[in-house]
Amino acid sequence: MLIAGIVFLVLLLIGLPIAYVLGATTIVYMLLSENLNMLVSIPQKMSTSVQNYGLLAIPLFVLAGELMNRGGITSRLIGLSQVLVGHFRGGLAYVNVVTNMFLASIIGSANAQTAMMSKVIVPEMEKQGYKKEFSSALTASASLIGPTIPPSIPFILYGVIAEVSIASMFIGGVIPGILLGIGFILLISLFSIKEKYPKQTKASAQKMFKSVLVALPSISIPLLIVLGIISGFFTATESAAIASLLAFLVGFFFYRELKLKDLPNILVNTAVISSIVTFIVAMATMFGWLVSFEKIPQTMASFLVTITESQFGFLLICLILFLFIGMIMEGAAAMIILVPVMLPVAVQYGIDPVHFGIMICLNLTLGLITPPVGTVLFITSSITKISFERLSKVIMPFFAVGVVVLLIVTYIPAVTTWLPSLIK
Amino acid sequence: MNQEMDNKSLLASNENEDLSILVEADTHWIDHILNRLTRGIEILAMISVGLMCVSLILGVFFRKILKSPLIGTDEIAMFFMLWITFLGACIALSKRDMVAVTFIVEKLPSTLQTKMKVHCQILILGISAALFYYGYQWVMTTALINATTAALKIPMWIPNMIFPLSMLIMVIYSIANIRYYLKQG
Amino acid sequence: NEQSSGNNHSEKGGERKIKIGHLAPENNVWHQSLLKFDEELKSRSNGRLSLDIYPNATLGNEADMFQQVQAGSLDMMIVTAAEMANYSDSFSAWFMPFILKDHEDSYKMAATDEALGLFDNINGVEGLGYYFAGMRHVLTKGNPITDIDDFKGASIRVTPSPAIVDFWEKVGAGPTPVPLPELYSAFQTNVVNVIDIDLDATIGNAYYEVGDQLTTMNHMVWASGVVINEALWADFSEEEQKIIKEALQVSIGFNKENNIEREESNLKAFKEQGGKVTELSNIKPFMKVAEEIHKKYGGQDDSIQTFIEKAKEIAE
Ligand code: NA
Ligand code: NA
Repeated sequence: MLIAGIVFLVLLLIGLPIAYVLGATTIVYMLLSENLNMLVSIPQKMSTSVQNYGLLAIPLFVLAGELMNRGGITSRLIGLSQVLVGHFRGGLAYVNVVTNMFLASIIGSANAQTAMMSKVIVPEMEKQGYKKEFSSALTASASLIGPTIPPSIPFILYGVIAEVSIASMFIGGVIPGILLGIGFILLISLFSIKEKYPKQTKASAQKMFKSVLVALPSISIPLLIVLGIISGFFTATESAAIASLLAFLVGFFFYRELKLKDLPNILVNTAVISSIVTFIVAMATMFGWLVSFEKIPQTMASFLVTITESQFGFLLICLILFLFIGMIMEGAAAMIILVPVMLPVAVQYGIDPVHFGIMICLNLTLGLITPPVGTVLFITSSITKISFERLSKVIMPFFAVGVVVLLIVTYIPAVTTWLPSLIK
Repeated sequence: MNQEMDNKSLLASNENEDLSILVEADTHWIDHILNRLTRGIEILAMISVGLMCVSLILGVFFRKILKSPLIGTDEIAMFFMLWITFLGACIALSKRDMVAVTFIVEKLPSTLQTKMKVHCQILILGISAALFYYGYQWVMTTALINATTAALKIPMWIPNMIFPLSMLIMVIYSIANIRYYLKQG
Repeated sequence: NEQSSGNNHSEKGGERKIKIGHLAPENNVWHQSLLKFDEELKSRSNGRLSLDIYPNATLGNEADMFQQVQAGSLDMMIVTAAEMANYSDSFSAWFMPFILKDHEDSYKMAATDEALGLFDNINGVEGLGYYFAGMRHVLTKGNPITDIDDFKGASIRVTPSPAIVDFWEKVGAGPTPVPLPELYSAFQTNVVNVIDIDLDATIGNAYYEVGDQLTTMNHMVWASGVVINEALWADFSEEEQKIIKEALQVSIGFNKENNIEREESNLKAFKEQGGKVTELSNIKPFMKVAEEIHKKYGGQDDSIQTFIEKAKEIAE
């Protein structure tokens, strides 16, 4: 296992794509542990791992996001946020957070969200006199709201692995997502006073009305989705296909910005972006399969139980462990390997699987902005041209806000379980 | 342009770009063939995403509007999930655009960087070749040849053949990438 | 096939742990039966043979594990007839409605050549016997189902196998396949309003929280094969094969007792949770539909035809 760990780190640091790092490590471990007869089952294991009903939602929500962006929905949402919060000191910074919260109700991935927002809002903030590194760090962090407010790719993944209702995960993520937004807003208000950030003039009632009106079709998409799931018109997975349909209709017929000739590009982008997650899922499943074959979960579980008897202690161990793992591993891979290990133990400590899931997803989502493996940092720094190291430093206060929200989610279960219990 | 192996340029590229690759007069015939291959894979990927979405929408439509459920829509959607995963990964590899940790490699002098990149591609080549070998055996084993899907009774080798096929394509692309880096360095 | 030589096969005469996987949680009747199997195996072989059990789908879903057994990376598993029907249509024999009325019949049927012969149609595995889960019933909410007309327009959750789908369509319902993890919320939100299920799952997965009306139809049994990698099986000495078969027989007996007990205790638990239990007022129209299904599938496949005949003989 130690050798496998070293192989993993070396391959990771020489720049081998993460999916192949997982694949190579598994193969090396199979060879070392003389589990040669497992090699023949690798293709089947990889293929069936992605043929999972719950995972279908991943490309479909990516598709919805792509259609939305091309169809002018994103810009309507920025317009709406501007008339709502643009006139405060630090207005555009608030607009950034609020737009991210709106976007989050349709998009399920921080990567997608930061890619959109970094390009649109960072240059605008720079024009108005915000420091570029502050704008970049804010945009990167605010995108973390994307996978916290439903829909959410990590929640789908956890629901699939843990066989927990994806709908419950979605509903449970609403309050943590809002907390994250509030946390960032509080932090901005501190910065605004210190740095004297600009504000925009308050929009006239007429302009305000117009912005709300044009944004209505966009806002109605998440509302229709939630209504559809609650009323049983479609399942959580099917809702992703309906979201794509709605995003297409709104962009094509209402805003008329989406053209048929955009579709091929959108579809290919969807395949490539979702494969970033699902190809890693396939490789990580193979790794996780080996881990369960070696009965490592059981060993680790009995070890953990000897360390602490209290739920508090166990949650603390998880909190630190996952923050650390989130630094060096891609979230999807970490989840596939660790959830089967940790969830049974968590249940032994009397922890609710939905609560545990949201805590883990939020934790690994924070990993997107921690070096050395932080996809959101990679994307933002490449678009805004702030160096990876610099961005990693400037983002620290935002990361701290995330950790505070994580602590709240970890130790106040009601934050995640109260809303789902209302629906039941 | 910076050709790092991560997803940043890809995620960033949502402007209207024409997908068809411009074939310049002086393009090497190898590049010409590779471009054709990529285009073919992209078309398959488009179809997969489109049909997956449509089949689920039809599932809802038939069940809730027409009140006569269609059997097998989720089965079809799941095949395309498989196709999307492996075709998407092929496209990402062809663009040398997969999620990786590059900031350490970026610190190295450029000749060493190129060397590292070539080594990574050799590793990808090796892994893909091994997976192609086992994948081919898997799809061609008598067990799977006779197997069919639960609802629509489609022979299982049809959706699953994307696995060895995509691994073969990855072998080709990793070789093409090695050629690319060697020419560059 | 050739891939059976794992790391711990070679030491003949030494200790041999047989890796066996299944889908159910540890409190499920399958797992309990396997523990019995393990116990018998150890005592009959003086500790030379034992099981290494992987519950809860830790090694993957059914399709995964089944192909692992075929390839030899897993030794044994419990696999439902529904999964095996993907490899050989003949396994649809177990989905013929109303041929076996209770657990007594089912276990009798499982021991016949007609039932064990079904395994011959699948490559790479040797079928050693069958376990069962509870009898199939239907669960709904609101008004109880007592008559065939109550199924008109209902959307019923089924396992998507042609024979099962056919049966429910002919009964007049709209069969809708919903994956198990989504079933609870799909039932709750009326994506489906009836589910075709056994009592163990009704209690274990808390479907009783949503559906309070159970109609005891006993229309089908839920059979699962205990299968072993073919090459590994051939690798065992005759004496070892005998020990394994005998130990399995004891565990099948245990499985039967356990199932009969659980059927009763689950029914009691369901009522304690406020559930109402109803019986069909008139079974005849269902039998008519069942006959059509028997004819259709028996006509397509000889193994199914002889299976149906044998089952009817047992049910007499
Ligand atoms: Na979201
Ligand atoms: Na990280």
